[in-house]
Amino acid sequence: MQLNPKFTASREEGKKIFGLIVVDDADQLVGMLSMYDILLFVQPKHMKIWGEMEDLEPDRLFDDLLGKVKGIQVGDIMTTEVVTIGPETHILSISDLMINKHIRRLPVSEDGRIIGMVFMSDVFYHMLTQFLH
Amino acid sequence: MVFIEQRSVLSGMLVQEAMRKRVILLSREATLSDCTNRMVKNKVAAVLVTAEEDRPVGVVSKTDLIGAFYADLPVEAAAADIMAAPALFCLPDDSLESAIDLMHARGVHRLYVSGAETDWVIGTLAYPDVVGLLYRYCRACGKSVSKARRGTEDEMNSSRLRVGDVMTTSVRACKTDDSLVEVIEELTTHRCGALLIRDPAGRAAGVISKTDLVIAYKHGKKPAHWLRLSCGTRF
Repeated sequence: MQLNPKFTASREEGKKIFGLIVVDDADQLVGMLSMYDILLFVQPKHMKIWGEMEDLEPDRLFDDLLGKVKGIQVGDIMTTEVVTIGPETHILSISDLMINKHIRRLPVSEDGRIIGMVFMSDVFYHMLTQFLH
Repeated sequence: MVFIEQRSVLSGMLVQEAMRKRVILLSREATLSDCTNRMVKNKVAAVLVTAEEDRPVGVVSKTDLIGAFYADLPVEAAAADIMAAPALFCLPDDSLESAIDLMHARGVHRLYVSGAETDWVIGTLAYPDVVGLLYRYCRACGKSVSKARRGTEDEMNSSRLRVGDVMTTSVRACKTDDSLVEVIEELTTHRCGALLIRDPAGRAAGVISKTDLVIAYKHGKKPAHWLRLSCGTRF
């Protein structure tokens, strides 16, 4: 399993990366890894109660949590149920998926291969441009 | 005949006060590898396996996954093949004491909480959730440590329960050159969640938990692997 550098889920490659597509050895999509996945993993499970513990040293707790990340691989915490769209999917279907499934980015697949990404901002600006015309 | 009702801190508390609403679900077509992914990411010890329309059909726990690891099942096997069925349920307005009694009687570490319809899962209750509620309750109590600090030292020391009063004294341990098979056997025989690992000189070298084992399983390790090659040491 590896991260595909060709299709980072960031708005622009080389800049801020918010998510990555994960592919297997046969270059097939097996999941996506986002900042959210990593933050969710690092977050203590009973955060509300941890927050109430006055005697706790937050720095040490944070170091312990970060220490747990070392033995973890991408496949352990990536999102495996990835919704994809096709190059012919209508923009209204795309915005419907984004709204109902709370997805900000959708990989575009054709014949089992990922050929691109559609971001929520793409859909928004496309609609805005259409509206202004 | 006179009944004397025994009351504890938990008396009068309901399941809905301690339960967590976030339930980790997994479709029954999912693999054991997917199962580990959900557990590690969400830090839960079990996932609820569901059929169509999120209808619950069973539970896969870390203990079940470790059993699959021991039996050398491939991680691509279906979660439904190893799940315990049916899942055990309680209701949000059940008393916490009755829910804990049910967990104890059935030898499980969690119950799922059902809504108005039996198939409608609204939450989950595990021992740590009860501990969390107790922590809050005891902290708000007039006799809590934080309040006693303002009082006298004597008052604080008189009736306080210490770690030494409640801890388990028989600590199970394995050695750094044992194999994972031995670790799994020791964990299963004594029904514990983690083992102390000692180095050849008998010193504490680390701890191995069920989470370490399921991650080793997902990473393609074999049960016959040496412990020291499979897991990092940590406390």
